[in-house]
Formats: sequence, C-alpha cells, structure tokens
Amino acid sequence: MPEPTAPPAPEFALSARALTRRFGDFTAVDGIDLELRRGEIFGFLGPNGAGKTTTIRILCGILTPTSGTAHVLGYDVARDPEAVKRRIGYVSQQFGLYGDLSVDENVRFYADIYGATDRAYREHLLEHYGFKDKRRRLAGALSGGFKQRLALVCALTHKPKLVFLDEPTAGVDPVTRKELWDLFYSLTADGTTLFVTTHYMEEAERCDRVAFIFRGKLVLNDAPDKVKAHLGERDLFHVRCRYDPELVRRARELPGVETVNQFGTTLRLIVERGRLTPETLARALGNGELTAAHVYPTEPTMEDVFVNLTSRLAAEAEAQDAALDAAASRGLA
Amino acid sequence: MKLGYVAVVRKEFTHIRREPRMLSFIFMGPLLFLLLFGYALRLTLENVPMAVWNEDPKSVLSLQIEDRLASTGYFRLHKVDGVEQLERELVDGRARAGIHIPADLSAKLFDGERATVTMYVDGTMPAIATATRGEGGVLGGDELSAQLHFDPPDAPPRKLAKRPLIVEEKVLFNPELRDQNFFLPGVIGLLIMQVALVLTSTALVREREYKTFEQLIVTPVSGAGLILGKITPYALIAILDAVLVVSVAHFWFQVPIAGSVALLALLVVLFVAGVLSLGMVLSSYAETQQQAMFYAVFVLIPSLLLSGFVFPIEAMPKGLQPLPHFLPLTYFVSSVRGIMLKGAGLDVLGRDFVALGCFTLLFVGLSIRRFRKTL
Ligand SMILES: Nc1ncnc2c1ncn2[C@@H]1O[C@H](COP(=O)(O)OP(=O)(O)O)[C@@H](O)[C@H]1O
Ligand SMILES: [Mg+2]
Repeated sequence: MPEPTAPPAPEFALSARALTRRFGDFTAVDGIDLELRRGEIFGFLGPNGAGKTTTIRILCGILTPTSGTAHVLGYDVARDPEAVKRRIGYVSQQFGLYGDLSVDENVRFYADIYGATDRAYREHLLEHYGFKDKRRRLAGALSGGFKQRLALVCALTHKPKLVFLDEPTAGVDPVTRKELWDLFYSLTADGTTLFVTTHYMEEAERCDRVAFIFRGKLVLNDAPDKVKAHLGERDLFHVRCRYDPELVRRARELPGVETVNQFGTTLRLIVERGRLTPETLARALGNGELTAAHVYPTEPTMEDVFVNLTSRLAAEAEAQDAALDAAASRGLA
Repeated sequence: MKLGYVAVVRKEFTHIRREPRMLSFIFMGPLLFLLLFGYALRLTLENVPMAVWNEDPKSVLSLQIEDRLASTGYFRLHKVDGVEQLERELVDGRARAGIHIPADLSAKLFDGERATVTMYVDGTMPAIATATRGEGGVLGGDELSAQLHFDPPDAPPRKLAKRPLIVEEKVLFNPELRDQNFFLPGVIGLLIMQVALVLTSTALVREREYKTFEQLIVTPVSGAGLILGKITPYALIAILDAVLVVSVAHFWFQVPIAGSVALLALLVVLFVAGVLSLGMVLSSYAETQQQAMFYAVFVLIPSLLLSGFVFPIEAMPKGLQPLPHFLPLTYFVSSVRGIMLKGAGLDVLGRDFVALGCFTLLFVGLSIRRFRKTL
C-alpha cells in the first residue's frame, strides 16, 4: 500500500483543520482546529453529547469527516485511514473487548492483529498493568478498572506513538482513577502522546493542555494554568447560604452578574470586575440572614471558567437566534 | 391479572414496533410460503422428461407407441441415440425415464409375435419412479392392440398378438426404491446448510451487538482477513458435521455411495464454502442477531422447498423453474444424489460444481465489498 502522505517526523502528533461532522442537519463536530505536540497529554473536555467521541472516531479513521482535514502521525485520516490505524492505539468509550475471552486471549488477539512481535513487551505490559494473577480470568468478569486496564494493554502491544482514550475513567472509583492516571503518565514518559477525553474537571488539571468542546465547537484550548486567565475581567464570589432557588433567581438579576451556580449550600457567582463587593452582594441578596461574612471573593476553578464560557456562548447563540427571528418576522411584515 | 403483565405486554409491542424490518418479515414470510405451496409446489408429476431411443423410427407402430406415451400427459419425450446416451441422460438428470424401442419391433409385430420394449426409470425419486412405472403400463395392456393401426387405413387388418408388447422395466440407481436413499442425501445438504447459516449469519452482527466492532475496525485488520477469518473455523466445523451425517446415512441407513468418496468430499467442501459465505452476506445486512436468524430461516425454507429436495423441480410452473437455479442447495441435492446413488462423475457434475464455486466467489466477494471499516 502506498504511503504518500507521511512527511518526515512532523512536529505535531496530530493536527486538524476545520474538522466537521454532520449527522443529517445536526452538526456533532463543528469546525474544530487541534494540534497535539508529541509526548503531551491532551485533555479533551466537554459535557455529554458535546462531540468528544465523534471527534475521536474521525481522528482514528473509523468515521469520515463531512469536511475539514486531519493529519495523524503525518497521515491524512480521510485519505489513508489504514496507515493511521496501524500507528495509533484507541480505547473506545464502551468496553470493546471480548468478554468471553480471557485476559491473555484478548491481548494475544489484538497483538496478532496489529502484527506486534515484541512478546517481552507484551509480558511487561501485562505485569505493569497488574494482570500477573489475572491472566486467565475472563475479560467480562473483570472489575471496571481492570477492564479499562486490559483495554489499554490491548491498545498498546504494537507500541503506538499516539493513543486515544475515550473517557477511560468514567464510572471508576477515585482510587482506581488515580491508578489509571499513574499509568497514563508512565506512558508519556516513553514519549507516547495521549489524547484523553473526560468530563471530570479535576482530571483536566493533570493534562499538559486542555481543550473544551461544547455543542461541537471548541471553546478553549490552552495549558491548564492559563485557563483561569480566560475568565478575563471578572470576579468570583463564593456565598455560603441555605439551599434556596429564590436566592439564585435574585442573584441572576443583579447588575453585572453573568453566571450563578448553586452547589448544595454554596453559591458561586461570576461577576463583571468591580461591579460588586461582598458587602453590596450580601445586601442585594439580603434576606436578613446573609452578611458579608458569608460572602468571600475566591479564585476561579477550571470548572468556573468552563461554566462561564459555555453560558456566555449559549447566551450569544440565543441572542443571535432571537435577532434572526426578529429579522425574519420583520421581513414577513 | 398478575402484577406487571400489562406493562410487559406494552413494552414488548413497543420493541416490535421499533423494528419495522422485522415486522415486515413476520407478515411477508408466511404469505410468501403460502403462495409457494399454493401455486408452485406439486408432488404429482407432469412432463417427466423421457429419453426415447427409437431404433425402428421408420415404423408407424413405433411412432404410435411414442404418441401413446405422450398422450398420457405425463411424459415429455425427446430423442436420444443409443443406450449410452440414454443412460447418461438418466445419470445427469436430463431424463428421469427412458424407453428403448428395438429395431425389430415392427417386423415382430407384423409377424404376430410379441415385441419387447425396455422402460428405464430413474429410481432416485421413488415417488416419481412408482408413478412412471404405472404410466408406462399403458404399453402393456390389452387395449393397445386395438389402438395400433396400420397405414394405409384401408389395408386389410392384420392380426396382432393379444398383448403385442412386452414391457421390460429397468429401475436404475435405487432399484428397491428405498425412500431413505431418496431423502437422506438431500437431508445431508439441508443439515449442512442449517448449521452453516446459523453459525455465520450472526458472526459479523454479533460484533456490533456486543460493541466489539468499533474496537475491531480501529485495528489494521483487512476486510478479507476478517471475513475469511470468520468463515474458516465454521467451515471446519460444518465439514466435520457433514462427515458425521454422511457416515450415519451410509453405515447405519445403508445409503450407498456409488460414486467417488473424494468427489463427495469435494462437493461438501464447495457447498460448505458457498453456504458460509452466503451467511456472511446475510450477516452484513442484519442489524441484530435476531434479524440475522430471520434472514437465515428465510433462505433455508425456500431452499428446502425449491431445491428439488422434496418437490420435483419439473413439477413447478414453468415461470418458477429458474428460481431453484439461484439456490446453492439445488446444485448440492442433484450432485449428492448423482454421486451417492447414480455413481456420477465429474464429467456429469462439472456444471453443478462450477455453479457452487461461483456462488462462493460471489458471496465472499460481496461480503468483503460490503464490509466497511467505518461506523
Ligand atoms: N451516528 C450518529 N448519528 C446521529 N447522531 C449521532 C451519531 N453519533 C453521535 N451523534 C450525536 O452527536 C452528538 C455528539 O455525540 P458524541 O460525540 O458521542 O458526544 P460525547 O462523546 O461528547 O458525549 C450527540 O448529540 C449524539 O447524539
Ligand atoms: Mg462520548
């Protein structure tokens, strides 16, 4: 098979331009640009249905993009998907191994199918991933965490330079999640590039770079410690209060308030810079119980930034739709 | 009413409604089979192909014998030249019956002697054979002498022997007309087909249902590698199955193997390959394993009815007679009877073998072509 598209060791493990995928009139992935440097852990964040899996499937060559291009390890995914498939590893969101095959049998199958000849490496992987005494266990009988590990081993036998992990830690307990992340780090130590999707915000902090996808569009793409700067000229307040929907409603109507989120007995407000102080805020929310002592300015978390960005984006989209509707009805009149 | 009964009924109906394809199968299937039985399938035979070797063709008497046979409506006569050709046609199935009229027929009859004609009957389908012999009896009766005329009609009548014809019968291939010999070779094909179709028709769609498909197509596995890789193990299993069934049929039920065992083995291999690859095609069209099973049944039943396994193809309406040629089982049934009962060789069965080979190539090609390594 000709492999015409491979340039000599490109700087980026992956680069995508204006990647778009539609299902009918629904645009699941909408003009995404991405660049992954070699050896980094790239975190791809977004709520359910944002388009993470769809993006990964395109990048792995198992879903054709409607438009746009992507080069993975130097190969054009749409033109030469098989060249890409030979060189990447992919762990799908849903457990995709054979439940009625044992650990060893699954690993052997995938190693053979990739033509992976390094048996010692296979043994090393199985040991390193904790399968020493589980090799004859049926894959279907493994715990969630070990299923993920096994899927990872199966995706690694051919030593891929780039590995896609689609929500590898979903539904896994925190201890196991930490163990999985340790394994991810050990992978990058060997120079492997990791593309990880998640909707756990705290996992984003562990990545070298994060991108946030919302309704198919890339909202942000930066290093985790720079994400907070995207909040721009805004203050963040943390309010301790009783759970009260009325309080949220009132907070939303205050001047300069952009986003209000209630987490149980705390309220987080993102406000235009300098519009409110703890005192004015307590008074404005004022139900008598609240004082400035319950309100304090705080540092934004990554989650605050994403929530703020998406709500601004949603508001913009709404305003645009309203403007279009208005124009349409004027046109009709 | 038991708790939850109504809820379960409603839920099941909802499942059914969500699969319109299945629903159309559930109603179209029985209708189709009913039409087949109503219009196409007959056990009684008309137009049994009969090879006539007439060594006394100039004689009016011999022509009258031919007319007599044709007028029963039971036989469709065609001429052959010599006993070799006649027997050959019985082997390859172009004729199911035959008659030899000897050169001295008219001479003997004119002399008031009795003449001997030989009826050949293909014994592989006992029902046809019995009926054929019965119809052939028209030549042996008393009335025949009254019906044999001499030309010109005004010539003085000559006295014929009381029963002018001696009909000698030769039942070939299955002289005792054992029903097992008729059924079991065909059953071998049906069993192979059932096992093979069920094994493969779910093979691809199972990967989809168990969600292993995505993880599989992201690997460099090739379409051909996957399809052929999936067929091979089932091929071995189906062939072992065939060995078992043939052995029991032969050693226990005493069905003869008149021809070459090697040829029989080749036939089984070809047939297994064809049916397994057909199963792969079905699998590539099905969305669920349940659907795949439906498809398999949908191939199996028409094969059973139209392959000549039970119902003779000659008895089907002319318009439907091309249909069996699209079914691999048709070629298997005629070949397996040919080998086991008639001792037919590759010279006779070559066309059937080629047809089976073509099916395999077609189906394998189609399933590889239909296989997409994308979601
Ligand atoms: N094959 C498909 N046909 C139609 N819609 C699809 C298909 N695959 C995904 N979608 C839609 O595209 C959107 C993005 O899905 P997905 O990429 O799976 O999101 P995520 O992985 O971020 O949760 C969802 O709204 C989903 O319903
Ligand atoms: Mg997903």
